[in-house]
Amino acid sequence: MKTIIETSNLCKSYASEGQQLHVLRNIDLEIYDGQFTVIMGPSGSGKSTLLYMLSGMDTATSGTVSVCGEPVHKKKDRDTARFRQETAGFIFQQMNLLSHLTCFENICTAGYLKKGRSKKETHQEARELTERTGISDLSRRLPSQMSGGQQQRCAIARALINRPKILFADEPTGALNSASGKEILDLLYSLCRAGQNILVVTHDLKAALRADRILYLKDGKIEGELSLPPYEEAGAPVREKQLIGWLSGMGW
Amino acid sequence: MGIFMVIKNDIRKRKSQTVILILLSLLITLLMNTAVSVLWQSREQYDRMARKVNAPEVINIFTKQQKPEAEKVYQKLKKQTETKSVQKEDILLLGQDNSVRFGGNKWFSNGIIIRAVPGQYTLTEGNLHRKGIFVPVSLQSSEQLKLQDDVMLQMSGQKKKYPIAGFFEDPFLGGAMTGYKQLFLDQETFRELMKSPGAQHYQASLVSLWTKSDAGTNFSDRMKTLNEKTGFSRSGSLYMESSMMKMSSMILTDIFMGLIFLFSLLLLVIMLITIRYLIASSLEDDYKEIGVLNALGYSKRTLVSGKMLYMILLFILGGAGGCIGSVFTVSPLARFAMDGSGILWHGGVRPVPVMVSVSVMAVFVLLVSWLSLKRIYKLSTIQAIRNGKEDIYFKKRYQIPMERLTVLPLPFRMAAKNVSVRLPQYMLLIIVCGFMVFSLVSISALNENMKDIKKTAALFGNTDSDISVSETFTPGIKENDSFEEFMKTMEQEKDVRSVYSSEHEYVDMDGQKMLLSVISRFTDGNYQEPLDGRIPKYDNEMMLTEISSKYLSKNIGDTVRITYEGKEKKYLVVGLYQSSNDGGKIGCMTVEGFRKISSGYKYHSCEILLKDQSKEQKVIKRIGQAGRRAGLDLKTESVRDQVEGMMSDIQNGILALVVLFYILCLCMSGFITFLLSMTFLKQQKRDLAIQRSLGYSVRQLRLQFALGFGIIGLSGALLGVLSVGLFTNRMFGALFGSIGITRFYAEITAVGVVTPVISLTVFLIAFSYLISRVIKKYGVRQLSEDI
Repeated sequence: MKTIIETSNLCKSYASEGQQLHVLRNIDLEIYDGQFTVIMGPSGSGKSTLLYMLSGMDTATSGTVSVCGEPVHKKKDRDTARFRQETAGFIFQQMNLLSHLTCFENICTAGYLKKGRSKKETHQEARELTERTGISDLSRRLPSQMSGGQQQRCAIARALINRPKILFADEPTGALNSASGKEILDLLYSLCRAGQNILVVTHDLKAALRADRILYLKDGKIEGELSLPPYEEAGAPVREKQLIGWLSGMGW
Repeated sequence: MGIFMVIKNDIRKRKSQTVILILLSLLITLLMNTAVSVLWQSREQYDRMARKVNAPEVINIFTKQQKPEAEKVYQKLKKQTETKSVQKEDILLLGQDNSVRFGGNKWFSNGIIIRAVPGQYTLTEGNLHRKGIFVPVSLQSSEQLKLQDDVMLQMSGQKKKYPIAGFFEDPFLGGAMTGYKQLFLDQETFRELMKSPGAQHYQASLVSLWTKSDAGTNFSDRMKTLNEKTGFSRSGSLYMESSMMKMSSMILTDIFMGLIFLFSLLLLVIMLITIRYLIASSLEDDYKEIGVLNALGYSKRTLVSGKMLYMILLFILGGAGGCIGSVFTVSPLARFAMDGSGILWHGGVRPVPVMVSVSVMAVFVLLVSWLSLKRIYKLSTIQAIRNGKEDIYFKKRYQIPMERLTVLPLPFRMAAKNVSVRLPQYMLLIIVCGFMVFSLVSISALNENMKDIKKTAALFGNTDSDISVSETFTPGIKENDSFEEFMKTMEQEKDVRSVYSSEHEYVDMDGQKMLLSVISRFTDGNYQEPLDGRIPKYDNEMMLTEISSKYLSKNIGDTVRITYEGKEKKYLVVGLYQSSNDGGKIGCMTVEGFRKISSGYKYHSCEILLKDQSKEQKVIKRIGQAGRRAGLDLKTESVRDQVEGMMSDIQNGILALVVLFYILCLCMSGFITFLLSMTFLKQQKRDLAIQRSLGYSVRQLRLQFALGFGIIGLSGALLGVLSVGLFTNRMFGALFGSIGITRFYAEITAVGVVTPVISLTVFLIAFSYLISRVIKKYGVRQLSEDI
């Protein structure tokens, strides 16, 4: 299987109140093309930090990260910006929509950055994405006029506007109720089946159920991984039992 | 104790805001203190100097022919109970026919009174007991004179040279804007000169009057009574009261310092708006903290008092700095502003007016702080805690759909959108930019007005001229029409654009001694453009200035009774105009009109305007030839340089103010941009971090942020330019009204508007771009921490 993300000896440390805090310790991992990959782990294990390192949102203290063969750990600001425009789409737990822009404008804000695409084409792309994500009738609404689920759909559309190679999601259902969470997970899963690489950090078992591969992070290290067959709604209860068993073994 | 905790907290949390507010307070108090001290003390010093030299309350000059009249008036004045003292002194009256020359080659065209040196004057330089001539300090600077330079007096062909023995301060006639100047000769030289044959025609009398201030009436009432009883104001050829002399002396000081005072008021308004905005935005930041402190037992009154004390403490700190700074700025600015006053600056910072102005400003700071802080009283504790980080700015917003702005580049689109939705936040800067553009365009317009020598001269009561020609008085020659014939000849010259005569006579208008301009022809050179009505065409018509119109209660269509040398005629007022001569108390008419009351009136001088300045020497040669043919002994003088020299002090002064205002405006913009940039960056941190996560580069975000300031600068500039259209002429009208210019038309040029607009906008963009370097630090980690 083709590797799209690869890390080697990845470390991240913070200086906190005079003490060195090692969040990630020598992580070597590979993420494969076409998969719905989930990173799980207890609070403070370094899941989100790892996601930020992989997506180029933050820089590593040491070690290397390469995404689609391109090193991201030592990029300059301009290259990092280009990487975010072309390769990585990011979804936050708190959606982080720009509160003064409408839903449609939030999607286009990222879309305008894409080189070689006209504004008209960007608008067309944005309209198609709002239809795909089921928010076409909410285009003119401000984030404050939308529900959490609708905001997260908008955030997903925004992350997809430049057709990124990988979609990173940090606890995408963390701020949603169960019904909205399920809708978002279904959406992400359908995107993955349509060819979109997805890497999700989550606590949510329901999210993990959709994964093709699960990585378990503990104390800044990869403790284990689990590969699963493609998700089917009918087989969900059995898959859930298998997952819970594996997680218990990991100390979940 | 609680209050001090609030103050300490505010200082610790808002270090840059604290520093900037102290600097703003310092700048404003520095300017205000300087302006107030100079305005206050210059008049005091004038009065003190007037007392020291025992300057008379009223003077009247009587020519040689009027000497018997002078004696009569003098005797009558002596007998009046209102008179404290009256003095009649023999003097020489020279100058208006170019008979005095200082140092170089140019003749001095203003009137000069030559007197024996009075004992009460003290010198700024030289020795009072030395033989020679004593010159006022105002001429020392304008004519660039030094001790021992020669002053030449030419009287009926007799030339006398005297070395300058000293310079004196003259509160009496020393001001640059006073038409007459006085020179003193030592007693012995003066007696010799008076006896010389050439001086006989120039002998005149100066009657000086002091009134009794304990007579139970005010000065104008006393003078009214005295003038009615003695005819003092209706006699003589130059009647002047001390108030008029004082106004003429202090006019430039008042204008320069008045402009600085107005500018410091403008800065104060800007600072108050800034304080209001800063308090509003700090409250929004501190909602949660206010709620928590309130829950802990801090009363709202303590919180409000603490924040008010914080503001006033900053103002006091800055104000103290400004007071100390003004000790160093007051002297150079005062010397600059009083250059044309006739007296020198001897003062310093005056504690009383300074304390009053600082206290008034402090009251305003407290008032604005209280008005901004009173919303704390309306806030419930729980509401405050819950509203900790709400996007309260975006409750009411105007939306510009970004899809419609597709023609604009992306950073500009984002900036426009950002400004449109955060308009209330940016409104402060728009107003500030508006104020700044208003003041810069206005002062540039004033500078433009002053650039044109004709208009500057017209504004300050001079006529425009390239060559001034006057007839030398020769005793025994009877009045004839030769000069008028000469004027007609010169009008035919191909290099001459216009020839006109504009002479002034003091006449009695409806019982008031006032100046009358007798004009041979109304041209663009003498600038008697009517504000209402029309210029006089017929010999029974005249124009009044708006000030004279109010003073005499006469309007267009009314008649004015004019008495001159015993003859009286009525003239119809056909127009209103403005002039700064005699503080605006002046009228004008055609020479034909004046000849109805002075049938033998002849011109003795004229002004020539050239088509081409380079032909000046050629025309001067032709003047000499035409004069000889007409049998006239003419004095010809190229006055373009002289008028320009006279006006250059005013022009340079205004130019210096333009530069000062630009520097101050840019400093002020810098302070406010820094303050607001830091606040906006803090408030927009989350949005900027989100945009970075979407792929916006730091450079793009900085550009977007700076362009927002550019849009603000341009919007403010638009507001400022609109204000210029509405208020500039009114503002200058109020400022120049005191010297007779009741309607001021500012010369607003494209360059005068575009330069401040562009410089302010570019400065805002560049400065905010520089400050926005902090965006580099806004990453996704800050975003997750913030949330």
